[in-house]
Amino acid sequence: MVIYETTFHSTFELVDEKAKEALMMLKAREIDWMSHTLFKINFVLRELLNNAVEHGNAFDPQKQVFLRIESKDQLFIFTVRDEGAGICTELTPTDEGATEKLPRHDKAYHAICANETLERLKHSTDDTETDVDALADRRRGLETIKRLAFELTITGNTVVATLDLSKEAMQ
Amino acid sequence: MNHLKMTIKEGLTANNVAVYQKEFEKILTEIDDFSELILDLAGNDNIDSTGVTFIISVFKRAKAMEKSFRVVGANADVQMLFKLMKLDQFFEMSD
Repeated sequence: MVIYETTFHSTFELVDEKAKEALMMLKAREIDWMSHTLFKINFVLRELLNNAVEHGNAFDPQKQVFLRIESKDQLFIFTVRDEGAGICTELTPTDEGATEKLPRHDKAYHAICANETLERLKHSTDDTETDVDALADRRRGLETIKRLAFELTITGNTVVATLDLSKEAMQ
Repeated sequence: MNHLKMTIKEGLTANNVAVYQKEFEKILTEIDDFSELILDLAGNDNIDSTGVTFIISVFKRAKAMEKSFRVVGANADVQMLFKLMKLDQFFEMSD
């Protein structure tokens, strides 16, 4: 069931407005929300939308960001799509051992980048992985989404974050 | 002056951070006579990673100026977020 869906131009002001609207729509559901769950959703939602505005659409006000929030049983699914080249162009240069990679715009590259990003996120759950520098200026957002127990799927310039509400109660 | 306290009243979010940064820089050019910089987040649970980056930049600036730094007024959710980001190892925070 779709709870909220919107498309908007790429500004942080509209991210703030849409995030507030989305939270209101979620609160209106007949769910006994825990405050920390709503806090997490707010943080993750803003992270995805800010990322789309800043890194996906490069603040181009003519480019749009698409957001859809839907629920399936205990799952809450947040889909964010931008008109950019995908988040991989931001992430890969900081990967250990990676050489500089310039942004490209073909679909094949999107797929490769998405896979690389997913692999990096999967591996970063290993205990042996060095943590992202807590004071670093980049990469903080996606790492935090993962630590907040959202499942991430990245396909080109579309990011899907899924929260399993049944697991929230156990935290 | 013993401490300089900055209070964040609006959301610590990307749409506001540029204004906070500008005000912060202005204050630091006018006031230097303090030993501790305190950031008050009371009543603020609207935060994103850009806001977190702002707090880190304030911490780094305080450290460069050889001033102490701590966050007060942080609710349980904000403190949980900072701990998740492992920022609690760098500066003190309390509610």
